[in-house]
Amino acid sequence: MSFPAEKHRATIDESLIRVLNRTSNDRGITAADARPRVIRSLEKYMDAGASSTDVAGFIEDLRADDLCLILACEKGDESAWNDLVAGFDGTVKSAARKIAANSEDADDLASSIWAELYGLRRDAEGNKKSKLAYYSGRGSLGGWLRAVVAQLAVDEFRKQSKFVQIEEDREFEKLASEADHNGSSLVAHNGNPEELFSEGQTSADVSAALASAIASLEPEDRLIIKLYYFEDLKLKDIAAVFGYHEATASRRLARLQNDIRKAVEKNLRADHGWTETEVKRYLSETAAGLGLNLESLLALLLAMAVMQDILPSSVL
Amino acid sequence: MELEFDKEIDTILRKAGSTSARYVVTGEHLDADAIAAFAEGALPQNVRVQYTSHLADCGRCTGILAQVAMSMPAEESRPAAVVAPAESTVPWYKALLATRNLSLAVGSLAVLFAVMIGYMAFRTGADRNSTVTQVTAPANPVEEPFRQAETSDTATTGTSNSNAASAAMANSAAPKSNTAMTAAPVANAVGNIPGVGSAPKEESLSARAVQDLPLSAVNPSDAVVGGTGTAKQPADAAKPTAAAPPPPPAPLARSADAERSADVTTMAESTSPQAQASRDSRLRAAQPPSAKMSQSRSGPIQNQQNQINNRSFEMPVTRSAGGKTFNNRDRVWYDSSYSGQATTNVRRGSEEFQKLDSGLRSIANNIGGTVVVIWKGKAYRIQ
Repeated sequence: MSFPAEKHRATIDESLIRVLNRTSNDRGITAADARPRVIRSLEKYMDAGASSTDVAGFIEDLRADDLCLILACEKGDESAWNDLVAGFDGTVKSAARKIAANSEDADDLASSIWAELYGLRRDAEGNKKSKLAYYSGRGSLGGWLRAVVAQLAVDEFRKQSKFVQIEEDREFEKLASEADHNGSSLVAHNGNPEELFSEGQTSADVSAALASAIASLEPEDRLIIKLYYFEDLKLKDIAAVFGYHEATASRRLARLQNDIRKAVEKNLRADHGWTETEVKRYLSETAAGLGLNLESLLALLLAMAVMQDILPSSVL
Repeated sequence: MELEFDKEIDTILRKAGSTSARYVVTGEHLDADAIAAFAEGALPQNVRVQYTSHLADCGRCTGILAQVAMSMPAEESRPAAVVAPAESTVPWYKALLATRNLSLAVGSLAVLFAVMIGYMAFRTGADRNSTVTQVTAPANPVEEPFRQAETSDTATTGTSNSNAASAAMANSAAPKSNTAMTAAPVANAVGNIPGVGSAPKEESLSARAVQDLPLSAVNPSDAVVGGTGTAKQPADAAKPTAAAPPPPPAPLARSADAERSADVTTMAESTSPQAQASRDSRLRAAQPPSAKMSQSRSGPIQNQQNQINNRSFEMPVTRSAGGKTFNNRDRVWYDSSYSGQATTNVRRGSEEFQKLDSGLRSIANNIGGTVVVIWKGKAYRIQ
C-alpha cells in the first residue's frame, strides 16, 4: 500500500514550513513548491503505516538547502543553476576521475553528467527530461551526484561486462586445459591436494563450499564480503557506508572470515567427503600461494591489465 | 576474544572475487538517490534493511555503491564512521587510564587517599588543641562543633582552656567578620552572574547561598554561647574559606535536577571572582563531611589537602539539560537514554549544527564539551 500523503498533509505542511525556515537560502522555494517532491520521497521511503511523528522526523532530516537549490534549478532559476555548477562541478569531475581511466575520459563523463542534469533531452510533450527530478533530498547533493556519475559509468561498463567476464573465465580455463594437455602444470605436484586441484575437482568443491558459505551469511555480512573482496573497497570506506569505525569493520571482517572458514570446512567434509587433513592442507597451501605457476600467473595478469586499459576508453 | 585476520580464507576469497561475475542482474535496481542515501546512512531503518538485502545479491547496485563510497570525501562521509572513538583523541598520559575499570580504580584510590590524609590531618589537629585555636580560618558550622567539643573537653581538664576559648573567640572573630563581609559579596555575585536572577529558581539559589551561611558569620558571639545552634548547622552549609586558595574553575557536582540545570551551566561558565567564590561554596556543599572538616583548617598541608579534595570533586558525574540527564564518561557527556547506537557527528558552529533543532542546540551549548544526545530517536554526537 502506498504512503497516504493526504492523511499526513497537515504534518507535511507544518514540517515543510519549519524546514524551509531554517535554510540559509530558500531561493524563493515555498512549501507548495517543495510539497510534490517531498511527497514523492515519502512514498518512496516511508511505510504506509508511518505515524505523523515519523513523517515529521523524515522531513526534518531532509537536506533543505540542497533540495531548494535543485528545485530552483528545475524552476529555471539561472542563478541557482550557476550556483549548482560552481559548487558541484568539482565533485562531479572528481568522481569521474576516480572511475575513468584518464583525465580526458573523466572530462567527457563529467560533461555527459551535466548534460543529463540540465536536461538536453525532451520528452514527447516537449518538457525537459532532467535527472534533477530524481533527487529526493534525503542524502546530500554531493553524494547524489557521485552516485549519478557512478551509475552512468557502471551501466555503460555493464554493457561490456559480459565480454569481460567471458574473457576472464576463458583465460583461466584455457590455462588450465593447456596445462593438462602439455603436461606442464599450473599446480605443483607436491601432494594429494595439488593433484586434485589440477584435475579441477578441488577447485570445484571449494567454489561450491565457498558459495554456500557466503550465501548462508546475513545480508549485511554478505554485502561486506562483496564490497571488500569483489569490489576491492577499503575497510575505512566500508565502515563509512555502515556507520561504524574502521576498527569495528576490521573486527567484523575477521569474524566473517572465521564464520566462512567454519562453513567451508564443514561443507567440504560433509558434502564433498574431504578428510580433516585434506581440508587443512588445502587451506594452508592455498594461503602459501602454491598451486599456481608464477609465469602463467604473470601472463594472466598482463592480459587482464591490457583488457582493462582497452575497455574504459571504448565505454566512455 | 578478538579474532585474527584469517589469511587462508582471505586468499581464497580474493581468488573468488577476482573471477566472479560482478554485475549479475537481480530484480529491480536501486536508483542513484537510494544508493547515495544508503551510503550516507540517510534512510529509515526498515528501508535500509530492505536495500541491504538487495545490495547483498545485486552486483550492479553493489558496484555503484562501491564507487560512491570510494569517491566520498572524508568530510562528507557518515560522521559516525569517520570520527574516531573518544579515546583516540585522549592524550597519551590519559590513554594510560583509558580503560574504564582502571580509571575507576585509580579515581577510587585517589579519593580514598584523600579521605585518609584528611582523617590523619584531623587527628593530628585534634591532638594539638592550642594549634587548633590558633587557626585563623573562618569558622564554619562544621568546624564549630569540634571547636566547641574541644573547648568543652579542655574545660573539664583545666582552666587554661578558658584562655583557649577566649583565644578562639578572638581568632574566630576576625575570620567571622571576614565571612560576614564576604557573605554579601557572595550573594551579590550570584545575582550578578548572567542569566542568574532572571528566574525564580536562581533567586532561591542565591537566597539559599546567603541563608546557608553560618549564623556565626553575622553573630560571632553565638559561636561560643550558641554552640548547639551552630553545631546543628546542616552539613551542606555553604561557606567560602578565606584562607584556602580557590580551586580552578570547575563544574559543580550535583545530582540530576532539571530545574537547576540552567543554574549549573551558567554558574560553571562564569569566571568572575564572585562567581568563583560562589562556586567554591557550592563545591564544598557537595563534598562529604570528612572532606569539609579537613577543609576548615588552614596551613600549607591542609591547603594542599583542600586542593586535593576539591580536585577530586571537580569532574561532576551527572548533569541535566532540557529535561535530559547526562552522565560523564571519559570526558564525554552521554544521554542516559543512549544505548550505544551509531551517532551522527556534528561540530558546533558547522552548517550541520545550525540545521539542528533549536532545542538540541540549546542542550549541546548548555552541557558543553563533547555530548551524545538522543534527539527524536536519533543519536547525535556534538563536539
